[in-house]
Amino acid sequence: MKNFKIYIAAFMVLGSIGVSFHSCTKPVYEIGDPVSKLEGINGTWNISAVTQIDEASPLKDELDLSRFFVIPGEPALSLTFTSSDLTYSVIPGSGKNPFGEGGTWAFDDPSYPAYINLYSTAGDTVVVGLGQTIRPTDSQLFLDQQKKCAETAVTTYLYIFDRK
Amino acid sequence: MNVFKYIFFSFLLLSVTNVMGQKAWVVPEQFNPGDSITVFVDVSKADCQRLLNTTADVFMWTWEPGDPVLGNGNWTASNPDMKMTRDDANPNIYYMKMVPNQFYVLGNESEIYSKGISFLAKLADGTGGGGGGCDEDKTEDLHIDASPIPGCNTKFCQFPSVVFWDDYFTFLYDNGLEDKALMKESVVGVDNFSMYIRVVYDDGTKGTYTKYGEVKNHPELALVKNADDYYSQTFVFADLLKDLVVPGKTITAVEIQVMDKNYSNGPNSVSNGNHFVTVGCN
Repeated sequence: MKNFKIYIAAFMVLGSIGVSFHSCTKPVYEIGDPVSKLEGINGTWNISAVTQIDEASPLKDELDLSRFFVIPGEPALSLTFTSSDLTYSVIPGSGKNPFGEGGTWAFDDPSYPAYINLYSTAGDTVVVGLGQTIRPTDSQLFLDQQKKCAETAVTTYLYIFDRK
Repeated sequence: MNVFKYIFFSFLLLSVTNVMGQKAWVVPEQFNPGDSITVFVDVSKADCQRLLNTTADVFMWTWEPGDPVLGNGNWTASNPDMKMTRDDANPNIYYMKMVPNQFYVLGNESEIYSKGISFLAKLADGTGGGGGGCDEDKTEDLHIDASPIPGCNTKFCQFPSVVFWDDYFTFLYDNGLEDKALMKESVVGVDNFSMYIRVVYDDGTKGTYTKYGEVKNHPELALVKNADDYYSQTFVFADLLKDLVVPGKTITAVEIQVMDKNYSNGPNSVSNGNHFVTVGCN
């Protein structure tokens, strides 16, 4: 009887090890081609929220400025990116428009963009950060703009847009 | 119930151990740059023990968040102004009272929090046995993290810390800290607080948004009481102050006073002091 129990225990231990090793074998999936960020940003985006971040404050305090940008009954700031010809247009709304009047644009790196350079028709270049990668399936676009003193960020504006 | 007792006494023991084990600390733990604070050192807790039970004067030697305005002196002859006070209750504890933004040479007040306070305690002549390290008459380098008080805790505050001409700027006023009787909320009324604004040009001259007696006709200057009990207004300099732009001059700063918009008591309807905002990088 004692030997029988030992056999059972050994069987269970070996069985567990076998199951564990089997579990380590993961199926291989094809991840396919990288999602096109150009296609992701293509379209019209309406502003839905704005946050001001005090980078010079030790606590990095934040202030919600959305009430200046999203006012019921008034048009909202809107951006349209056209990926086919790399142009963009702006419809100003409530709140300050930091994106210029429209023009052309380019990612800093089309495959892994971190910034968008906006070349406005007025001749200005506005550099905005891409808060997170943008895919065709994403419903929100996160852009940020930093004010700097001697290359140190002192204030950041975080803009959130909804896909129209 | 016994379980709660154990938990309570465990936390109590941890707290006491934490305080007793400190080499250096600051009181209060959270402070404004212009607050009076006290920096303490317990030389009996230091790794370098040559100051233990000393009867000689002990001096602060500090380098962060900046050099002291008065100067540390020389290593062999400390500045007498940097003498620390020996604690009456514990002769191995020394302290220095200071107002950080006056005590230290700072590029920006936020350096107090980004750098903290670094110092050591030493005898007037710190040479001791020489050779550096614990053979000298000093403690090792000590550091205290400095923490600001969250939120606005002075009469006037602003957001953000650095403001450009085209930034959204928020001015905050805490009437709870108002020191003028005729400017108390109970006298002025919730709907009557306003800003009085001047701009400072790069040639030192000033421009005024409007006269004190005319502020009541400018609702855009009104301060609105918010949920946190502060009076505030958010605006963009480039929009609100565009009429004060003068060709050939640059606006370098904005001065804001708080007043009763009705100005019914003349100068007594204006809060003491003003809030000075540098436009652009400091």
